[in-house]
Amino acid sequence: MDWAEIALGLDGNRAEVGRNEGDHLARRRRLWHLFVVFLRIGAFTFGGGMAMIPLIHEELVVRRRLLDDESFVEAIALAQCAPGPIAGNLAVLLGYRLEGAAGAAVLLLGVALPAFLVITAIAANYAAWRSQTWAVKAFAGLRPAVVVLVAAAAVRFGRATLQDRVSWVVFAAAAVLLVGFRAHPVAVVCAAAALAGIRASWPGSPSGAEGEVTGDVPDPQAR
Amino acid sequence: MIPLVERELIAGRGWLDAATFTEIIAVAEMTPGPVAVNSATFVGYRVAGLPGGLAGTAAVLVVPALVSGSLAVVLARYGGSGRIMSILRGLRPAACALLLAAAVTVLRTVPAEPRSGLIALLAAVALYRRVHPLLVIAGAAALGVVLF
Repeated sequence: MDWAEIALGLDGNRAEVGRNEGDHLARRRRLWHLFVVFLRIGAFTFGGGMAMIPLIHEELVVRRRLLDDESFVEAIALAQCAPGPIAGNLAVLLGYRLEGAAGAAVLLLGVALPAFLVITAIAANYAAWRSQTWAVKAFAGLRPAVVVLVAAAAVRFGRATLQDRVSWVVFAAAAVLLVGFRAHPVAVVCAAAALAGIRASWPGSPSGAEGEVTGDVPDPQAR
Repeated sequence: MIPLVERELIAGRGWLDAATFTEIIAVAEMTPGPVAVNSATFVGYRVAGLPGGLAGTAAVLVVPALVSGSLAVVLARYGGSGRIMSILRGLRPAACALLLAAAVTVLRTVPAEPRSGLIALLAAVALYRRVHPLLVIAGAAALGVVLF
C-alpha cells in the first residue's frame, strides 16, 4: 500500500466492515463506509457502466471480502436484466444484498452523486468547459486502460466460473452473439437463464445436483 | 436509449436542437457515470435549472431502481431454492461474455496507435502488480493528457 493509495483513501485492506455486527451504530458506520466507497467508484467510472465492474470487484470482493466472485458475476448478469444503466442496477442489487433496502439506496446514491455534481457543474458553465481539450486527451488515455481492466475482469471471472464444457459453450455462444451479432444483452442473459432452467429440470441432470453451494459471504475474519 | 431521447426531446418537445444534443452526448460520455444518467442530468439542467437536473436524474434512475430492487427482494426471498441457484449459476458464463463484449466495444473506439498500446501495456502491468483500478484509471487519464 503506497502513499497514493492512502491519499485516495484506498486503504480498505482491513476487513473492518464486518458483517456480523448486529449493533445499530455499527450498521450506520458500515452504510456510511459503503457510501464513501461507492462515491469514489462513481467518480472514476468512465467509459460506460461496465467500467465500474473492476472497481466494485476490487473494493467489495478483493479488499473487503463482502462477496465472492461467483455471486458478483451473477449480480452482473442480473443487473443487465433490469432496464436502465447497469451501473444503477448493480448498485441496487449489491446494496440490497449487503445491507438491505438502506444498502441499495446508499450504493445507488453513491454512484450517482459524483456524476450528477460533475455534470451540473459543467452544464452551469458550459461555455468555459467547451474549449477544454484536456478532457478529450484524458479520455483518449482512459479508453485503453478501461479495455484492459474490463478484459482482465472477464478473464478473472472466466477462470473462476468456466469450469466445465457446458459453461464454455454458453460463454462462447454468448460472446459470439454479443460481439458478432450485436445481440441485446438482456436477450442473451435470458437465453442463458432459460438454458440453465431447462438443464436444472432435466431429470438426473448434474447441474441440479452440483454440490458446491457457494456461500456468498466468506468469513471476514479468515485471511 | 439515445434514439429514444432524441425523439422525445428534440423532435417531440423541441427542448434542444440537434447540435446541442450531440454535444451533450459527447459530454455525457466523457464524464463519470453512465451516459443515460448524465444526459438526463444535463438536459434537465438546461431546461429547468438545478431542480430540472435533479428531476431528470431521478427520473432516469427511478424505474430501473424499482425493477432491480424488486429483483433483489425476490431473490433474497426465493434465491435459496436449488433451481434458482442453478439458474443463477448458469448465468455466470453469460456474464463473462458480457464483460468480454464490453471490452471489445470500448476497444473498437481505440485507434490502433502506439500511445494507446503503451497505456494498455502499463495498465496490464499495473493490474498484475495489484495496483488499485482507481489508480490505474487516474494514471491512464493523466498519461492521456501528457501523451496526446
